[in-house]
Amino acid sequence: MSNNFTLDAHPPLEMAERMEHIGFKKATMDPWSMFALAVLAGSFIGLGAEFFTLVITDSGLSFGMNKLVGGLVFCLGLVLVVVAGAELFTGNNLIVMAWVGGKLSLGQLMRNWIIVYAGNLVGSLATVVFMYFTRQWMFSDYQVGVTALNIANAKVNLSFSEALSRGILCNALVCLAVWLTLSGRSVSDKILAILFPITAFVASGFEHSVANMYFIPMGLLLKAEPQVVATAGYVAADLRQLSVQGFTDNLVAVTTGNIFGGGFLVALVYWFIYRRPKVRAAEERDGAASRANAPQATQTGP
Amino acid sequence: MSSLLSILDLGITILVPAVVWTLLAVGVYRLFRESIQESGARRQVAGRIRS
Repeated sequence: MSNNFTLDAHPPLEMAERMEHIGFKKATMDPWSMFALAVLAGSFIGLGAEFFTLVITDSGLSFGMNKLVGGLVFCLGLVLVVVAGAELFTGNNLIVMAWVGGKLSLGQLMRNWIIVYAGNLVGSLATVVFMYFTRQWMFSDYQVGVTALNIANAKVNLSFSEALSRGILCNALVCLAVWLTLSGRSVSDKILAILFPITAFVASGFEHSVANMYFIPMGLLLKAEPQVVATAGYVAADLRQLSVQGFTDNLVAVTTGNIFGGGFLVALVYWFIYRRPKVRAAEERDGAASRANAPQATQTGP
Repeated sequence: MSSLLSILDLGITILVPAVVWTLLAVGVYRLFRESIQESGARRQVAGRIRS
């Protein structure tokens, strides 16, 4: 009987190897499958964002607890992406590891990012349309709509530097969550790995480009609902920035930050630690030496 | 202290987009070139099969 069965988490060195392999598989996938999986991821994150909006509305909790509960429920999005399987742009920034490891060309990396980003946008916008028609924003005397409008308006009023910094920190945490899931062996391992980094980024108010593809368009639709605007106590001038231009400006800054946070601060750093040529050669030497010194396997039992 | 923070803010606001947008620009250029090379190779194979 084999003695290879173990419940231990994968160590970081194995996680780095797995990430390079997964990155190669993701980037060389058929483009239509990639696009369909990206549409799914966009709608999964949209569902997480919708759940977040609903739960933090009129919760009666203190500031910190409200943020904590909102962060916990937002995890739904990434749990669906990781466990059900989907292509999320921010998580795919980790494919940088496969590129710097020489498994992929820069063109292949870019093809994945472009298709996945477009798919995420389509999935998020479709979720916005469905959620709008559910009239869920009328719940609790339009308070759910007010929350959605406030979230969107706050996002489009961020300066470039604020949106960029929040984008960097957000995707560092999202990519760390995805990185941690590589250590897990079961579904519950993966869910637990996601929980804390994602809750931290949402509670801290960091900016996620794909989540914003849900939050801001939802605000744009609700801006045209007089009941929601009146309940929120806004006048037209307060919502001047909440426009398509405001949406694209936010996405440019946040996406730039997300790529830097995930691709450079997580993927590149872990590649440097575990997968750069010098370290890889030393690992291979150690592996060969330990195989040579290992005792011969003996047959036991009948 | 506040002037140091202003310089850092300016540095991050310029350097991070410069690094990321350069990567994206080079990546899109490479993707474009690889697509042209692939379609050229496909045309050559199709031509050889026909002849």
